[in-house]
Amino acid sequence: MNHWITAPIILPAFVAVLMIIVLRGNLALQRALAIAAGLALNGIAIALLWSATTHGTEAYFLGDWPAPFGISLVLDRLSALMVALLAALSFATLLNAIGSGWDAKGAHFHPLLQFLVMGVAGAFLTGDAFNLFVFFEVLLIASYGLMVHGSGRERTRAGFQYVAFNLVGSSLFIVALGLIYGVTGTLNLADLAAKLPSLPPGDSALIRTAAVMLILVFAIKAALVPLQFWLPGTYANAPGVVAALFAIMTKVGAYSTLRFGTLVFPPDLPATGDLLASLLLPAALVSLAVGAIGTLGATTLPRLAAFAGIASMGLAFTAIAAFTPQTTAAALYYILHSTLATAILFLVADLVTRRRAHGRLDSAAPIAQSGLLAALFLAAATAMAGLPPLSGFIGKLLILDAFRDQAPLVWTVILGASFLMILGFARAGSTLFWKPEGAAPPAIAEPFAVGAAFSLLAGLAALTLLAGPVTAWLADTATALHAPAEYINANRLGQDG
Amino acid sequence: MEALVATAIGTLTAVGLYLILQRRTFPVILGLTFLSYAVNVSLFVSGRLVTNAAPIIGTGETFADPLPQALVLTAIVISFGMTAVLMILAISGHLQAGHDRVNLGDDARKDDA
Amino acid sequence: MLWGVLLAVALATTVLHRDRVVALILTSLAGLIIAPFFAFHSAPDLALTQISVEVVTVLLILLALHFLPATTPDALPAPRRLWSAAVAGIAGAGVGWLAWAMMTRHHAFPPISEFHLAQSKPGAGGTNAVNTIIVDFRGFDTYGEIIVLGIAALVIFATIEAVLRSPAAMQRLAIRSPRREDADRHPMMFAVATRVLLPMAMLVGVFLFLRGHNMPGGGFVAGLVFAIALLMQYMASGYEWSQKRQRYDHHLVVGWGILIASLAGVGSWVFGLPFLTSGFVYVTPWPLDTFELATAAIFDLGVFLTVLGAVLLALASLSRLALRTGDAPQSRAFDIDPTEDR
Repeated sequence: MNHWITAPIILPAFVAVLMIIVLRGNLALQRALAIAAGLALNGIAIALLWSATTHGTEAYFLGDWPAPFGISLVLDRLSALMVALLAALSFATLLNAIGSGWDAKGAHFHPLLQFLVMGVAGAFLTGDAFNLFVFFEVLLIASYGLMVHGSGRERTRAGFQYVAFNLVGSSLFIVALGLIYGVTGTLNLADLAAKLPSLPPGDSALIRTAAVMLILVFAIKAALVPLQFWLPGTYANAPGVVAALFAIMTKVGAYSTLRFGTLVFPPDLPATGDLLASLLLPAALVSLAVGAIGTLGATTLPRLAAFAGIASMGLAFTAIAAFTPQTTAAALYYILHSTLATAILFLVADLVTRRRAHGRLDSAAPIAQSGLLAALFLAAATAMAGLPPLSGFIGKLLILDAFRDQAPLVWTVILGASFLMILGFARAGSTLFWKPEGAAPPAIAEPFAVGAAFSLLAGLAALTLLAGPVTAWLADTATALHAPAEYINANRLGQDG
Repeated sequence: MEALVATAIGTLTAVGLYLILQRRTFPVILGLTFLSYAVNVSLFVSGRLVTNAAPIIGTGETFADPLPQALVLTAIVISFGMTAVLMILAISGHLQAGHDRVNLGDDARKDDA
Repeated sequence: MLWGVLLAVALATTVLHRDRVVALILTSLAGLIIAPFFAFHSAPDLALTQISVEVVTVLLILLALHFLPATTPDALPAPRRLWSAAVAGIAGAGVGWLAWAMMTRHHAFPPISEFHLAQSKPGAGGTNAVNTIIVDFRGFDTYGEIIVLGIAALVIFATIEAVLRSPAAMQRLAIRSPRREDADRHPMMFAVATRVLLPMAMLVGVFLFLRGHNMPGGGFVAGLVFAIALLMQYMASGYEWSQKRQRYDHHLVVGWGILIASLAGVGSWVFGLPFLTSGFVYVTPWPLDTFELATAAIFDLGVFLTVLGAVLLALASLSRLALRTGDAPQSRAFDIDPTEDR
């Protein structure tokens, strides 16, 4: 019995509890424990990735109850990939938080971070719809705490709005779940996938409504237009390192859409057909446009990063919305890239903002260590805008290639958006780093914080250099996603024990 | 009976959303409370309305569907936790900012430091 | 007809929401009407939970209202309100229609709860099917749920900590004076009544906890009832008096609750079984009758402690704020000293 699949969820829980009970008030020990846990999680994630690749999809039946009666955790290539991404990102942001001293600015940073990791891992690994809701709530409430960490007038107000908006989204999720159970009588994802093809036509209207509601919930998480307006206000006001961590949270929306769109509501399901694709593609293209325009018009560095994040999610969803193996593989590559790139951008924004006491994009005064930060910014901008030689270029190329047959509209939007983003980043970079004259203030030595950003950059470089093997692996993953028989069989439905 | 419950759910949802759109922290909290009542009841009725059939084995022949009840229980407790956090954020925001207006959109432009 | 009252109450709230205490009372009335609705439709556990959560929520909000304005200031302009009402009305109608459509059809496939009902006694060892689902069949959901409560407690604590360290906020707090000039802030009868009720309420909590597996009850309700009993002490005798007498750290209660639940889950690994598998055995210690010992009770204990700790931590955080307001602190249990000659 391979219990390791529960580790990404259980390990952070134990660590957080240990911190609350024994280590409260001892920040140094909490930091040490957090680093140890982060390293362990990365190791476990790699092991899970290897296991999913070599042993195929595996299910774990919590409580020893067979699916669909109990809750199952399912490790397939996609969920292993997302857990690995989570592990890498959370470790880098942890280092940044420790290195920049952010974790000391309020109480309970480290337990909250552990719980956030637990929630995201649970969302990636669960095979049950209501359990997905529960873990959404876990990660949301942990994010509320991290969002207002360090307090401050605007931060608390933005935090309230973020919470209120997400609570409306959670209510929508509950209604959708009620509809799903009310019509099909089951909550297990594999069971739904097995049963929905034989749904009586009279019930398909309700299932279509439920599907649309679910997509709305995931779109809120992923900040797709028209539900993106919470993101700039929230991310711009969150502590920088927290905003970087939030890069994985939008990916939860992408992951859930991908999972439901390939497993539960695949394009060949009679009840829903092309519904999801026809809703998602326009929303994705508009998000890309809105994000790109926002990047050009941003007045502060955090908002620049936030809008760039919206644009990158728009691009990722453009690829997701087509629901074919080729576009899905491209989408996955781009998701890997954009998570790291968005995180780096937010970390850079944080580093710059703290050296100037504000994030305004103007040429008021030179920034400390401007050479170093300028290099980082250049790298992040290149990545986000999708310029060669970094992985953003490869990702964009993959997506453009996958849409070759729908050339006009999609290509126009993608290329136009890229152009606007390049302009926006160039403007910001030159304003911040090239124009200011005068002596630079003394450097603030934050080796861990800067090092964390560089480590993410190294991840991007690896993604570029290893693009061949990575895309091959992702192509296999995408093929497996679009042929969900393996996932369904792993749950061993219809057998007892 | 179903019609009564459905209209009740609809009314509670409408009241909740209306209060949320009032854009002050306290009505927003009350609105979210109403909204959570509405969705909890809607989740509960996915098990259909059955009377006198409590799902306690040994007390009858037929039973109501226990699964939606368990789900609603979980949802009630989670909403309770969220409401408490929201309440504290409202207090904290009010004490730190001096007012309790809520913008449901992107107001950061006005607040850039 | 209760339905009519519910609708009237809900609609009244929209009109009267500017007086916040009234609005709160109306909201809690709506919640309290839903509880008998649950009970009538064969959901006693739900009714219990709804009532106790309702009570705790209202108490917390009332205490929190201490720090907010008593009325909502300017109302929105009329066109804005009309638009809000229109949007809300359409959304409400939609959700209501969906609920009706779902209620009037049958499940398309046999629901999975048939298994839960069939296996509740033989497989999970309890006759309360809802409870066995919560602590056994779908225990992982409950695990996530208590984590949510634990996180909520941490976030509340951290936020209040930050407020206490903000000079501007403390200034605003200090100039706050009591809203209503009550002759009795801590009436003696109230204090005595709650003090006497405390052990009885605790006993009810324990009773609900122990019987939860087979009759309505369980860890949540027990924890909430316990917490309400302690909450009443705060209401009756004020923050300072109660704080002095609660000398343990609520973080520990929350932490131990989650830890016990986690250990209960991990314990099954020792037997080679998946996380959160529960076992049970029947014992007949003389001279008692046969009863069941289930490991799910350990998990439920974790749930109980987490719920209790979370509510108390929230309350303690609020009281730390309250002690910094302009009110004169009260260190006696009630307003008058009964030993004095009057």
